[in-house]
Amino acid sequence: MILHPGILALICGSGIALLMLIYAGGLGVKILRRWDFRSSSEEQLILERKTYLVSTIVSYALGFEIFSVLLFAFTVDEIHSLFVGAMCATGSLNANPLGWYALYAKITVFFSAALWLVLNYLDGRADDFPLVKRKFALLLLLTPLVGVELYLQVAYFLGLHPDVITSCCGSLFSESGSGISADLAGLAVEPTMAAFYGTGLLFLGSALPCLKRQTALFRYLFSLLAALFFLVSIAAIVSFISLYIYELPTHHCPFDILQKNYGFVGYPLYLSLFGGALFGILPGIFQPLKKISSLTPEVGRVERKWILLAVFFTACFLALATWPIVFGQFRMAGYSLNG
Amino acid sequence: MDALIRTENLSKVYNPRRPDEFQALADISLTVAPGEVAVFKGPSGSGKTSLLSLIGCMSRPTAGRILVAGKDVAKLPERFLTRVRRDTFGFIFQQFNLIRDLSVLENVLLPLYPLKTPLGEMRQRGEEALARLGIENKVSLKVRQLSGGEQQRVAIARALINDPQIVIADEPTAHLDSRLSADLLDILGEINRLGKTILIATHDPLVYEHSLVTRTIAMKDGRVEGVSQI
Repeated sequence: MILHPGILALICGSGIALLMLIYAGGLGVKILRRWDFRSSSEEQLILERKTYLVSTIVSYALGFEIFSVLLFAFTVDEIHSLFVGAMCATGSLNANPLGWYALYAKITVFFSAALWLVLNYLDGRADDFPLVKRKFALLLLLTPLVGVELYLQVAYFLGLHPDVITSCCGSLFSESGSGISADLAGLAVEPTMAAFYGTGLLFLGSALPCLKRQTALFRYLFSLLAALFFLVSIAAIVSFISLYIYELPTHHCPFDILQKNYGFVGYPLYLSLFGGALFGILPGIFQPLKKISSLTPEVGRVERKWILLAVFFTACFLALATWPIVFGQFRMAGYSLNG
Repeated sequence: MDALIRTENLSKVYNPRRPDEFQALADISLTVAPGEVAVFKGPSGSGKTSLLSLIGCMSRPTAGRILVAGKDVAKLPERFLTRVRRDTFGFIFQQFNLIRDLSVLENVLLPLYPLKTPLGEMRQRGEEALARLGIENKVSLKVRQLSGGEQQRVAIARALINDPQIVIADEPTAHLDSRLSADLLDILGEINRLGKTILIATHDPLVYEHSLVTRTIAMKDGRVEGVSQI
């Protein structure tokens, strides 16, 4: 295995997080079986006190899991220079068949962990533990997910050998290639641009009725548009945003933008994209919790913040994505006309 | 009248499942109505202080319920208990628990600081509380410069500064002579006339035989031996 500080931190961190989750899972099983809030038995009081302690421990573990997506992206980009043929994180991820699966697992854990943290936050706002069973049921689902993520990370990093010749982003994200990455790279610029700005503005615009009215339908719509805009944005980064950042008509890699040559613009770009998507989907997902009387005022108060944060992150993302298109030297027009 | 305080099958075990496990309270069920002066009497180690600390949300029961104004405080997480403690209870401790190098007024104002009350309003409330207890001329003195009786009054002023519904006094006459004890009971009587419910743990006959007392709860070995309503 390559002994890189990032790799060691990722494996150790996820390992510790998994151990914490397994410990918490034990309490979760007990809570699902024995929890009875009406009871004042010794067992129930111990469970109530333990749930707060264990939830705090799990919060730290999942907090690391959220942060580790960034660390993973940084690390795989950092180690690309060790592989023959690799130019960026794409080459590192291609150096082992499990690389991409590890990345997908990390993104899945990112969103799941964030949802759990929000659930835990809301549970802590009410004095009658209204979400404790759901919280620990979700934790029991999250634990194997983190286990799979750890396995993929370990298997991926253990399977990396510097003598492997890997393919670079130029071949993977190429219009002439095959697979989903090539399909995204091959998307026509103008329609993709129209879809990107169309869904982006629709998403931002849908925040207004959400902020003015309490209607659940608006919130579901807002969250749906957040998810849609996230997917369209990923396609847009590969299809045309990357072209303007690189100022090259054929380079579609979504990872080179993480490098120093491009001012590390990929980090704020992805942070704002993920932040906007996360805060955007929360109002819809947590809408049913408004039916729990002890949570109604808190969900109403906090969802307003989520909407504003989603708008803020998405506006930042749109600004970052639009900046090189408007102010950069590169123009696609000539290339498009030439086919 | 509805009970202001109700305990149901309350028990407290210190160091559970350890060799030095100790059952301080067992199966305590009792009620206290609003405006009552309830005295918990019994020898040392009978569980009086443990019971008052549970009712006052300063420690957590091992099992059972404690309903204060209908709310089960035994089940409240710590972050909610802090508010209940601050808004509902005033505490008068046996040892006074004053900070000797702070002034009388600074000691009295301590419970107000977390509430972010404006300084002017804090001073006004503190001075009013001290005036009610007849020590308004000691406002600027350090606590270490006061006599035992005066310190007791400062502790009472501090207990009342948040206008609590319930005042808890743990062995309030333990360090006072009979004259100061009588003064203290007069003060507690005045507090009670303001509508406050008062809970006192004591083994001093001067207290539990006082006319002020409306309910006596006799305790022994962590259990209630008898309740007499006067």
